Amino acid sequence: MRILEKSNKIISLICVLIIIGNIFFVPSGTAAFKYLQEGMTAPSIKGNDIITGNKISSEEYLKDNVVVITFWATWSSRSLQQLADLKTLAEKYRELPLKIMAVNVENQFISPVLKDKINQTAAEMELPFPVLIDKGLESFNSFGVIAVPSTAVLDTSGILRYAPSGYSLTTKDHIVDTIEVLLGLKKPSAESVLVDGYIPDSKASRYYNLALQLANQRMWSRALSNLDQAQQADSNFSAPYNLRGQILLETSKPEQAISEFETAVAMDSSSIAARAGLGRALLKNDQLESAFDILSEVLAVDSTYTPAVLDLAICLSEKNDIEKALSLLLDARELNPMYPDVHYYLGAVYLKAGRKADALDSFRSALEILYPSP
Amino acid sequence: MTRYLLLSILITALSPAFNAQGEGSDPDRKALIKLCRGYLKNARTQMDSGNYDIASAYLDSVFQCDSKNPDAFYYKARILASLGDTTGVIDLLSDGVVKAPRSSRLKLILARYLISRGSPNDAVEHIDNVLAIKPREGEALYLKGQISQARGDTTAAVELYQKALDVSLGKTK
Repeated sequence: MRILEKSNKIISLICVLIIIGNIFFVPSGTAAFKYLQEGMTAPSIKGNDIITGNKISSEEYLKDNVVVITFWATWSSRSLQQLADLKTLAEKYRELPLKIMAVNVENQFISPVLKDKINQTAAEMELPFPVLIDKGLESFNSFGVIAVPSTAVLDTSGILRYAPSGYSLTTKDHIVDTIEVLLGLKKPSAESVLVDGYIPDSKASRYYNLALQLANQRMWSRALSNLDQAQQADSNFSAPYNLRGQILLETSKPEQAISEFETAVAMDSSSIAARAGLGRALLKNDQLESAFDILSEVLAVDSTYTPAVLDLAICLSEKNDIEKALSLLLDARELNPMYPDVHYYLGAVYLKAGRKADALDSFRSALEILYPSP
Repeated sequence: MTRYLLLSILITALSPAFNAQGEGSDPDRKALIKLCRGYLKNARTQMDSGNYDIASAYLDSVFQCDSKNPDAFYYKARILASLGDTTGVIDLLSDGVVKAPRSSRLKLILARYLISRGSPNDAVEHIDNVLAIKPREGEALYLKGQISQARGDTTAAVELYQKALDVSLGKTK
């Protein structure tokens, strides 16, 4: 009974933390990307600027500049707020080597109507930086974006230095602070979120990025063999273990995935993606209690990490704590409304609660994302 | 409109397939397929740039090469849809599913338009055709669920939606 009470208190505390986190702040240990961590070079982004029509390549763009890449969507009010703030920032520092790129991740399929909407939004905001449409969500997947908006702040060498997910009251301050430090306008303070991160060997990075591309195309064995090469090139690089774990999860091998994630966590205990991956692998392997513990830990550090919010909700649903599972799933939906799994599990939990009409709506939302109207 | 007509005449007149057929010779099939693909690619590029007139002219040329080309039906339907011509879309796709009966994509898009027009009974046949060949086709299950929901059978709708999601998201539970 006491254990049950303690467990309930922990869950309530997590829920309160998530609500507070969403409204007021994002803790410093946020992670915007599943496959990219501070210290790594960002995958290349290419496309046409929807405003000027010019071809844009992030590699050319990166040269000797501090770069901010934001992944945004018109359906996300926080994205629009961030774009307005970035516009102000671009105008303020237009004489300095700062470049901003807005990558629209509206949907996997961009209909002509949707394209017009994106163009109109960008034109109305008079954004002074390129706006690209992420066709087929290629960049979204190669970065492993977990919430919208998500931001990547890169230094002049193209190394990721800060990657917040969502856009809370303090995220803006942290982004500005990081940019100013990277531009040499000020020194890092105690409040700075600038992360040095582990800088992997360049050869290992190349193999890793190639593996990532292959994994996104579901070419698992080729991806795994490139991860082997990455690990051989740099044995201290933890990200390949994380990606290997994700691939093993995708190929229904949770037990082996656990071992990979455990290694990734042992090598870099600050990696939220690796810890959340471990939580998911434990959940898939029916180790409910262990999964619950580690996912709770992840959310205590980063309440906006949608995959962990979703997985903890699944744990709670399995434990028949429907009310709290629903509360977490609604949070996850708020964080990433275009993630079909969230709607799917929300529907499943509504069904468990006997709320058939709500289940129907949630299932339909998931299907509308997967099969949008032509 | 004049621009569209002129372009259409020009592309068709320059088409080797058109000339070859006109002379009654037997054009090389591989060359014809290549030509068709080229026209389709051009049509897609023009569509992406919002030049629907030019895209439409290219698609008409595809039909000259291959009157049963499912991709040409699909893109032509998209152009009509972007112009708000829902009746035109339904007529075109109805023709498309007869001429290209193996195209599940055409059947499902036609079903979608029939459902949104309020003719779910007409859509069922096309969805069932797809499911008879591909019983785990997520979109077909989804559309069938929509029809059940529209008919007030929420239990069947929930089951179909859940099944559609299970197969689409690869869920086992």
